[in-house]
Amino acid sequence: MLALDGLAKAFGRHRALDGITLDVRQGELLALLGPTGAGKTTTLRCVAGLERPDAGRIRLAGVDVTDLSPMERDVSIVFEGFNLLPVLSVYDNIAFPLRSPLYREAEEEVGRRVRKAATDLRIGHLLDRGVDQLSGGEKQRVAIARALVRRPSLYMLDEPLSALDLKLRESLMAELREMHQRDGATILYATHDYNGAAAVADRVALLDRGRLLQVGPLTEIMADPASLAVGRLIGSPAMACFPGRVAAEGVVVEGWAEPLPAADPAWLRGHAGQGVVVGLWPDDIAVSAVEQPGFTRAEVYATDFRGLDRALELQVGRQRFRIVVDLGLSLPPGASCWFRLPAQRCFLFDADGGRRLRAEAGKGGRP
Amino acid sequence: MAAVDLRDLTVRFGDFTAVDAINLGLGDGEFVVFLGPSGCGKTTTLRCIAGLETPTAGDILFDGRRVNELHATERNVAMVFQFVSLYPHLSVRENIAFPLRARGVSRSVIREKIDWVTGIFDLAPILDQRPGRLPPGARQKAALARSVVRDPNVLLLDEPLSAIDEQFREEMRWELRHLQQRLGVTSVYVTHDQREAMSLADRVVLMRDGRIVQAGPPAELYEDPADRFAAFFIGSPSMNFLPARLTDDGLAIGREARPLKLPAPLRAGLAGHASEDAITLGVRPQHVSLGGRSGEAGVLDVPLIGRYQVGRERWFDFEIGGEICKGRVLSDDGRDGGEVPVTLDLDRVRFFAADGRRLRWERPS
Repeated sequence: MLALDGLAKAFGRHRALDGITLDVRQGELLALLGPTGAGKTTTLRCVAGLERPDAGRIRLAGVDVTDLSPMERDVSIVFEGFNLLPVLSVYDNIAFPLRSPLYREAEEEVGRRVRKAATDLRIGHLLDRGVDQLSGGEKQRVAIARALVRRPSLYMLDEPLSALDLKLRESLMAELREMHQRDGATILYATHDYNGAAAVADRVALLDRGRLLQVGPLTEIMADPASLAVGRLIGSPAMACFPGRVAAEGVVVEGWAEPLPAADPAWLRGHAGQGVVVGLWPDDIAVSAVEQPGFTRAEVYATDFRGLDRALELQVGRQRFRIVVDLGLSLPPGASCWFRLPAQRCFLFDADGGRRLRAEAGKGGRP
Repeated sequence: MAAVDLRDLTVRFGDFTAVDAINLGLGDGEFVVFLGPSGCGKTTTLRCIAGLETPTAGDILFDGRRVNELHATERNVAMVFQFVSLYPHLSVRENIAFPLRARGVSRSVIREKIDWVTGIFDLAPILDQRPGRLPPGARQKAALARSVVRDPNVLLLDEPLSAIDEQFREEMRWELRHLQQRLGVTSVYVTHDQREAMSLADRVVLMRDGRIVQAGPPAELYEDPADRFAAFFIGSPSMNFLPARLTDDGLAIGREARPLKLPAPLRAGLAGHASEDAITLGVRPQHVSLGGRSGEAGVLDVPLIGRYQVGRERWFDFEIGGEICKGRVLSDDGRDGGEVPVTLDLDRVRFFAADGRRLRWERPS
């Protein structure tokens, strides 16, 4: 549907996009996930034609649109803010894009499509209202209906850094997911929020400093993270990391009595002395409130009540990492607990640069 | 530090009542989070405690002493805002010492105090650096250290993390969670982010339209919401709300009056609310599971919208009364649409009246 090939863009000396190659498939919801400055918004603006890439090509539905104006591209951007026109009714707000000079439709067709979009978003009963009479959630649905009504080949959503209302954001996710499942719309969604991306995306493209780190369904990325940077960008909490050094018997983590048997023995012998980082997803770390053989003692540094469960930050020496536990397990701050890192759940990364080292015991992590 | 009492605190701006006669006591050393949507009165309340806003009526007491007439500078409160304000030409150490020097505190005491905050905030590696070179999280920590170093009566934090990038924000939240438990300074923290409130607070004060909706420990607000607003605002994903009417053996759910059978004691417990023409059943997504035997108590047939994966968990969406509801997929039966049975955990459902009041019921003994 959308193919980006080597997209590059610099603003002065700042490289906003540094060779992005990415395919967005027909009918998928792809999240562009990354911190501020990763290049998410620049990517969307290039696709929309609001920004001209320095290098690379953009193909939309098989057509090279790199040199086309924004008006000639069949895409639509939905902003999280509502951008509704307050003087118009709900009906006229939704009809607005269809009445633009470029897409001018017969009024009968406009009516049919406005009513369809309004019904899909369950605001059919609000069409005659003024926009200022609506609740926040209703305004949001009007904004989505307005973007839907034109039926472009690609929808794009750009989320601002600070969402004013998290509850509205959450319901936007549900709307987006429903629209996607009902119509098979192709959606590109830029966000810095892992949980938001996880909640809606079929696949996630991880961006950092203008580069694409990894693309795929989150479950696949978690099963096979390409680099340490990936581990730091996803997960809730993010990956637990232990800097160490390769020794014959395993990976030695500073301040720990026992080495981690985190890699294949033959590989260990060949890489003795190399600096590595051992990474695990927080819910793969086994934890116990009582001492157990093979477990290491840690102190609870801080706790995070999340409603569904509890996340804990544990401290061993100067090393801190996070785990997730059931609400039933009572471990207050300052308490002792015991944990174990299952060898087959460990990923190894090069301490220099964070490249994944494919030498883990059990061949690369989770089953 | 001090205990703080708010008595019938009221603030009006013209016709608008920003804070509407609230009563609240903050214990000495307690970490209280004021939570609510924008315009709920949380920031105005904080500004009253700081002395930056004058109450229209009511009293503010520090350790039993009325401070209404005291100027902000006379109340010995420390405030931390979104934007860190450190002196760029001074090192972190000099920044922290600054408020103490200004008050003529002796050198040896200053050294002691700096050692104390350095330990708590783990500042040793950055003490001699200038703020400009530090990442935002470290700068925010230094600013916090500077605000607590002079033993304020109250530490006031007004959305201190909202201007920080999500990843730094997550790191800072963990630091704050840790500090919260070691600081022992009476603190008021204002946020609109319920997750932040739940994870930081000794006590959450949920506000709406200038009033306190509910005040209590995070788990209490989560498990036992005072009304529908509290149930909605606390928890992510949000609680599902199913419109219902009482029937002879349970409830009729949604416009389609889908039957939901309830066990006799629960149905009997709700009988006292028979005069309510419309009630709302609230249930959190994790207490709704896909599957079940249609017609059994707690099992409801619903139109399935779809399933999806969040991290390692599977969830599903369904529709009731025009709203999208969520549940958890524990075991997959493979059906992708149409009517499916879902099972509600009846020990965890909550009931609300049409106006949002919580409808409680007594379990017969």
